[in-house]
Amino acid sequence: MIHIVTSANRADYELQIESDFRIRHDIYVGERKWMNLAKPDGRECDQFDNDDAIYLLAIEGQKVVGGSRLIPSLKPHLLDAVFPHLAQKGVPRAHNIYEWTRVHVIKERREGRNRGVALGSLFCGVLEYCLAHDVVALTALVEMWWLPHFHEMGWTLDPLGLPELIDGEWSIAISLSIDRRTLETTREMFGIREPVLVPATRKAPSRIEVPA
Amino acid sequence: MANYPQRMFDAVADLQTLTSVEGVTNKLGHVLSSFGYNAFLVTSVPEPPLRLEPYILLNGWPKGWTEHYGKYDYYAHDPVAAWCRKAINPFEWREAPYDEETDPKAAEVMDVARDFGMSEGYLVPIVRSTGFQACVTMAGSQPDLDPMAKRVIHVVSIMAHGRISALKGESINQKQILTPREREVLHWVSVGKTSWEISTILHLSKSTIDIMVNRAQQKLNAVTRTQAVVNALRAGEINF
Repeated sequence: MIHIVTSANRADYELQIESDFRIRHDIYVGERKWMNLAKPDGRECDQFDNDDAIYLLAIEGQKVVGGSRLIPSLKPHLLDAVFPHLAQKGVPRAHNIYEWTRVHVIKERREGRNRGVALGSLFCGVLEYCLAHDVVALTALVEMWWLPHFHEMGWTLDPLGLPELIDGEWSIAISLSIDRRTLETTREMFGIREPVLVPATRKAPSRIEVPA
Repeated sequence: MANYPQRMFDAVADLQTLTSVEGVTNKLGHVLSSFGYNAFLVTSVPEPPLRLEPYILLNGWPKGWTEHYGKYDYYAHDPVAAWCRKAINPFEWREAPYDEETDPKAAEVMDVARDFGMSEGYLVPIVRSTGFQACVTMAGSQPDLDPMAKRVIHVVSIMAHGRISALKGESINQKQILTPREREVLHWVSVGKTSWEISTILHLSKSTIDIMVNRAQQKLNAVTRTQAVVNALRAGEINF
């Protein structure tokens, strides 16, 4: 299931967020070699991991297996603050547009069709969250090879600029439109039939059993 | 013509509004020719011995090339196609490596392509989440090889492929479900080979072949091998 963590309920999820920062370090620094994110404490956590961040954590049982981060586009965010030159069309900013970053799933959950159902669950969680909060578009900075995947899932995407080589990979700023149909086609692709978001009223999994 | 970002935005905006495969073909052809590529092909790239022709989505090759290419079995020797099956980033055709000594036919493919007016080429791989690669490949005699032009083509190619797949209804329901290896094995089953025979052809163990056939059967809801072949043919997964 996908848990939403914001500044309002973060106290309930401190251990899971910590666990996710370490997972992010393993993935982005360890696997992807984005060395500018390397931290001596092994936690990948940047200036946008602040009170504005909305986390989607994929938690199976007690274990964090993936996550993702949304930031309202009216607040400082990655595309706006660090990569504005990648958006020759301009950085879209509005109350109903969010930036989507750090989409990740641990290695052991990437098997299977379409890069694994854990990823599909994260996609569905993001869409459910956006639809519930009237977010109509997401901006993202992605490697070019993600674009066909979004097409396969039936998402409508719009390039915001020309691709550039970032850490050796062609990357591009895009805007993704969100609507009900996108959620339907994404669910269909991954064989997901039920909502994946944990209702906001439910508490975090027990702290005691979470691995350090 | 120098405002490269604007040329990309315009092309993408036009592609989004098109509702027919023919419309997308014309638009893509028009954009690519504005960069000096007057021939192009949009296709999936199966593993040889599978043939290319059934996997072609849009064919904008010069007259006669597809026929010649098929007749002389160029696909199995085409160094650009071989490189494409492994590539993530776009590349110029001339960057695709081949060994003239061990594969003289690779050189022939490139030479004859030149005779057809395709002396310089560029290829944009389309990496799919199913693992079954596709590409937009293009050629001309004096294309614009400016790095900015290449970036425009990179984006436009992927967007055009997405549009065509959506229009052809490929995106969700009819997408390929077999891995390239399973498809290859099933191809040999379809021409009457036994697991043992396939294992020698593909240099794999017989038990590996059996596992792949079983997996393909499950994916295709088939109880027998024959049924798997029939279902695969019907779903457009394999062909003769």
